[in-house]
Amino acid sequence: MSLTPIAILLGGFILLLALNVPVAFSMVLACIGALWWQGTIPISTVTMKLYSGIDTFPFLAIPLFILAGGLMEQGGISQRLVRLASNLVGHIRGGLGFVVVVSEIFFSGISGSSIADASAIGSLLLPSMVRAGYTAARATAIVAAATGMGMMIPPCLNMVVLGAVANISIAGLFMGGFLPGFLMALTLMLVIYLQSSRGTLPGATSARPSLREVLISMRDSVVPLMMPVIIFGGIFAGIFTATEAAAVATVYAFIISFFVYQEITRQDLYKILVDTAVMTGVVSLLVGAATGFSWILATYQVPRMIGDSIVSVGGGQYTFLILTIAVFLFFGMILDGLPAILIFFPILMPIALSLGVHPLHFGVLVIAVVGIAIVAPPIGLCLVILCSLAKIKLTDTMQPLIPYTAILVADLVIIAFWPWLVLFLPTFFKL
Amino acid sequence: MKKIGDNLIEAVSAVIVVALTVIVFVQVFNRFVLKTPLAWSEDLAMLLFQWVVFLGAAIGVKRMRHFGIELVVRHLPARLRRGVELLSPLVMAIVALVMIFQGWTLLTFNWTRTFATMDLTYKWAFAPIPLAGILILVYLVQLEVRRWREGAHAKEGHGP
Repeated sequence: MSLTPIAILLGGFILLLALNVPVAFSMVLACIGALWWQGTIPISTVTMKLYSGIDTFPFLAIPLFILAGGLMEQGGISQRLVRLASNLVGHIRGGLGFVVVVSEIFFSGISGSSIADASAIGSLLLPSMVRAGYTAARATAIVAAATGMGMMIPPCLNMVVLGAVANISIAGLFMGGFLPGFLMALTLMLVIYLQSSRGTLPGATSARPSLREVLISMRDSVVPLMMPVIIFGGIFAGIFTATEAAAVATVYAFIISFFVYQEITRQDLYKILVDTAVMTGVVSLLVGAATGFSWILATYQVPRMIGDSIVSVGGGQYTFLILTIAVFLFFGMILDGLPAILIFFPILMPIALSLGVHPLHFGVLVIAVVGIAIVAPPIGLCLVILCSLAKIKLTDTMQPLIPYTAILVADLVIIAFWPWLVLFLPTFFKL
Repeated sequence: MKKIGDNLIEAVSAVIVVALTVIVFVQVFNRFVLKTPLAWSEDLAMLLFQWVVFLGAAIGVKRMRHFGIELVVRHLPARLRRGVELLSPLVMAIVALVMIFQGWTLLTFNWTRTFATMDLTYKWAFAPIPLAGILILVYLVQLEVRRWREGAHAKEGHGP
């Protein structure tokens, strides 16, 4: 079998990508070129994959989670959770830095666009950090690192898409993401704590809130905290699927933000709905295009060839997992998380299975890596966005980012070599 | 007139997102509360999902929201960059044409095939593909016309 079609597929794709043609369209055209050269497989297969690649029920969770996320962030739910975070941890040494990390746990990467997430959180928290005495560069570095961590905390869209594409349980990915996510949050907070004791960061930024204030913010948070309870409680108790959980959460978020808080107007609502459709289209077109792309690669047995060459190098699981981290760090940085997952996960997954890596462990590791990649210096997409929000040069954040990036990469190695951390909860809940 | 057309597509996509959410919510409600699961809800939701995907992807072209890498292009010399900027709409137009013609073929193949759970044929599920192709072409032309006008305008504004 001649490999020319594969050369056309990969070469064409990389060339178009480098010339700023959108990823999904580059993939479709490269597929068409490869099949046209090959001659026997009808080109309409590519169009059919755009449809069939997303035609299973788990993919329906994409618009629903994006919509739920949009309603939460613009309808007052997320702001109340941030206030709770600030009252709970704001007075401890490390103060506002902790608030950023805890808020990121509540926000998490649900909107589907890491760029949207980074700009929402950045515009919410950066100004108050600068006011509290953080340098703009250091504040940006902390928000960037926390955003990377937050991409890991379920319910994140990367997990929904990865689960649907690779046919891995989305509930299992959610469950598996918790402990590694908390590990990343705790280690980040440890670095922030050490830095503020050494005087690198401002100390406690707010006075200890009175018990009354804490109680009030807790009371205000009961309604917003029902969101995660609905999503996770419902999924883990086996009441509904991830897709259905997203629909219930959306209805709940709509009732709360539109009727109870009355913080979104009809115009806001319309904008959120259209944005949801656009984001869903962008993500799903990419899924469909990647389905055709990896289908052609599989037809030519490319994944098996890569697998064989990795096996022949030796080192087994560990070499492979380190390689996985490197691949997703690099491509996550230049491509954004979702495209990187969609291109490389289907190629690497069969190899992981043949080396005895648990699919949930592999999936969660990849989610963690792309989360960090998008904020990694020098070209992580979210870092670029945050720098433009804070009006600083990218190079200024390099030095402050070093400790946070270092600790997150250390976390990655722990997650890679200690599967128990990922697998404990899913096994415990029999997912 | 053009404005109404644009807003119409956005409004339709917004309405479908609402319909989709309601259908999945009703599905849970019927199964979990009323204990009478619906047969058609999943199929109908998936059909509407395809509409959201392809309409949304087309609006994404208009709003330039599709993921791409600017990194390399940004470092090209200005004259070369202008040439490269034309490549992206050209590729999208080719893909749009493929979506129109092959989407239409898929549509005609499935003209009479009906869903097992609903009194609907699969042509409704495939219709958004060629429709999105047409919309993408329209939006690309609009974008290029606007860019060309702005370019001409900028030249007048900045002397010879």
